[in-house]
Amino acid sequence: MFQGVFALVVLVIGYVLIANIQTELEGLGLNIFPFVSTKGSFPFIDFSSDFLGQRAGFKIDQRSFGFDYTANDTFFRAFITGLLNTIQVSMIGIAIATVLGVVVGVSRLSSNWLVSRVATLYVETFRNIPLLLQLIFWYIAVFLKAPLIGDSLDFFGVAFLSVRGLALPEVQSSSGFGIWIIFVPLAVGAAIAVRHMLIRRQDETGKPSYPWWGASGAFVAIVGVSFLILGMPLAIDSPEVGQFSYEGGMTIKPELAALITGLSVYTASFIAEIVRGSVLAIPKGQTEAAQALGFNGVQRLRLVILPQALAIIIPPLTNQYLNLMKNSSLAIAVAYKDLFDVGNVTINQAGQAVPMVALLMAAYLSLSLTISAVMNGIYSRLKWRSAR
Amino acid sequence: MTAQRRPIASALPPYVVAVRWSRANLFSSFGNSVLTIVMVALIGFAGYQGARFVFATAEWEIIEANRGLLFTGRFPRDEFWRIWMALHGVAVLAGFSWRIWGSLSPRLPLIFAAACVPLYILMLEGDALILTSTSIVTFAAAYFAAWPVRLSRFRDRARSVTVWLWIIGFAAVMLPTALYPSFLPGQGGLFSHVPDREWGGLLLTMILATVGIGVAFPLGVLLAIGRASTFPVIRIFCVAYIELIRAVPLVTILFMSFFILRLAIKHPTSPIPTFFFGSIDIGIPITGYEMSVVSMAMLGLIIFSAAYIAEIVRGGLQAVPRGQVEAGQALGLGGLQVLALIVLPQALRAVIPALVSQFISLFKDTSLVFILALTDLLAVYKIAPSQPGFIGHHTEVLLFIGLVYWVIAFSMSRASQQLESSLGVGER
Repeated sequence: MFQGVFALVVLVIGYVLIANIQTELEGLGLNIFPFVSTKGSFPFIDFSSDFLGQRAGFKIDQRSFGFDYTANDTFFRAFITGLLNTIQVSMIGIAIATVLGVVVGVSRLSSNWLVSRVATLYVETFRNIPLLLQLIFWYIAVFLKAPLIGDSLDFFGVAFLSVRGLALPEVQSSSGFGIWIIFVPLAVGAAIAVRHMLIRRQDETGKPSYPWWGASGAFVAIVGVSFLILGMPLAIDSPEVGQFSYEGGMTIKPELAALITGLSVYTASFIAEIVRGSVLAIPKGQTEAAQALGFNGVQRLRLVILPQALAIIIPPLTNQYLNLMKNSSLAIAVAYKDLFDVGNVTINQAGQAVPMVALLMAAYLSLSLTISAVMNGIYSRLKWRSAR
Repeated sequence: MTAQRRPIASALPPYVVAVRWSRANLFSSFGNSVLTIVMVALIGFAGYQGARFVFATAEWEIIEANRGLLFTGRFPRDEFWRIWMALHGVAVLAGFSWRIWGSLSPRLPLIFAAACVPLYILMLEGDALILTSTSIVTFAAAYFAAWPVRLSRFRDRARSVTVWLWIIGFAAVMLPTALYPSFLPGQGGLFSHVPDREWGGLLLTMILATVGIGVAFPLGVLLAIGRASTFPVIRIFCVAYIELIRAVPLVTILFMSFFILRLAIKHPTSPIPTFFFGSIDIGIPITGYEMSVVSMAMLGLIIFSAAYIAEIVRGGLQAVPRGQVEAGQALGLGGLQVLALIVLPQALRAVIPALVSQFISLFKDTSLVFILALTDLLAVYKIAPSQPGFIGHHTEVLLFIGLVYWVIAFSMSRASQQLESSLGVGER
């Protein structure tokens, strides 16, 4: 009975709201879901039919994964460009935030008073200021205030920072790369085999046979020798300061640089707290037992503490990765054309807010589900391994 | 592994103590010594650059010239007494509740006061100083006035009265203001109408945050209960709501609220067609209201935060042992009584830290309404440096706004730590 009333109320309110949107849109001569058509074949969705198939007419300066887009392409292609930009920013941001977060989190536990205090200051500062403000600060007060290109800040001749952006060396491939890349999985296989062999010998003889060193050696040997035989198919292209722009290397524009810096610095302060909490959650007896076995500091951390802490870290870490991906939508404040910014421009130009917001939500929903699925896969694998 | 605090032997001269302390905590090994030296160099460099900017390069007149914009936006000066009243009301209640629930450790007000010093230096004249200092005095007065109550036998009754005062005060101040355009169309009445496009600065940020917390919290608790419910329809609805909202960014929710919900709410309710009975006019005007941008931003923030609060409360509900429910049933309590008197208090107490950090992130998230072109605290960074004489001085404004956000967010997190220890979370 109670359920029936609840369902009825929800249905009535939902119906009224959707019917209202429909009548409002019909008044404007628009359709609520223009890309859903019952005439087509399954799954009845056609992204080229309505406004999404029209010429977009706006430029997107930064594109990812080699995807091509010009102002003459359709709104749908612009949307995909934005989606790929969001994926790229999220991937880079997640990688940097993880490394930075682990470093800061471990530093907070350091026995060095100064290091732990600086790490605490870092966490308390960046966690308590809105991310949007931080992004704008990195963009306006740091990257746009950088010197002109002629007076670029020089980081040991490897990287340069100016108002044009951050110039970094780029890895470039030549003809032999296609053949060389085949050797990489071979080397991984060989490394795994060597490691297994050495572990077995270690178990049989009782003497340390350094399986990780052996495996890395096998990997480096195969990759390195094939690299030399194929005439070095990878070269590092260093940037040089030109008159108006950088020559060679790759240039990260201020917008992207600010977005990645802001996202990873902010998220790292949360990851640091997660890492610290998880390490503290490991019983002290574990550290003492490792000490009693004669492990040194690094061994204790690597063989005893971190494997156990990892199982506690992963679920909250997944949440932080999801947050970082969702927060990348604040790119709109630093004029970086990510998924949300492209959606916003499309709303302004095509005047189709309702389907566009729905499409944006669907895109973010699928990105979230993908990250959750990947992290859950890692988690269950880890659990299975530690249960063994 | 943390820095060790050793009892300082008073017989030793101070420099010996200092040397021993730094040997234990700064130079315990070769690696640590290198780290310390590198850190000192880095801190020195950053400190020098920072101090040079703050005391030499920066021109802080932009903050003084724009303090009205920063704190109250374009709120009319004649109506400032409303803010005074609200602020002093909150101060009285806050001081009172603090005394009858917890005890104030001297550290929190000290940190708060220290962080307020730069705010005061820039605000030496005008209403802001009088307003904040008198409300701090009100807070302190209420705190000391509550002292005998805490010790008396009326403590428990005082507690429940205070809770009701908070709820009634909140509803009385916030709801008519928030829903003004839809409730009281047109001019007239006892008070003159301050349209919400004139709200701004920290005032708007605080209104958004308090309304967001005040409405999203009960809604989130309801959603969490719904998710744990045995009724499949309600459970599925709550799960779908929580998971969908948590998977998308806040800006998309704000856009949905701004572009779609506003459209849907604006249109008058039309009769509902049914299969058997023809069209039914339900007679309740569910829609047909013109909502302002501020109300839609509030709605978006509430829709968003409720899902996160629900997820936190769900964790608390799961942490309550099954035996508690059974004990309640054995005492003859009904389902709702068990929930309200036994399960919820324990569940909420267990998740106070997570709840407060969610409130803090809601407070920080209010800055996103800037994307809807509202003039909240953050938006001042764009307005002020476009005035003649202050062109391009974004950095000063951004730093000042960041400090204001930081002081509030940091105080909230410290207050939650005190609340946690005074309620004994994690001790049983």
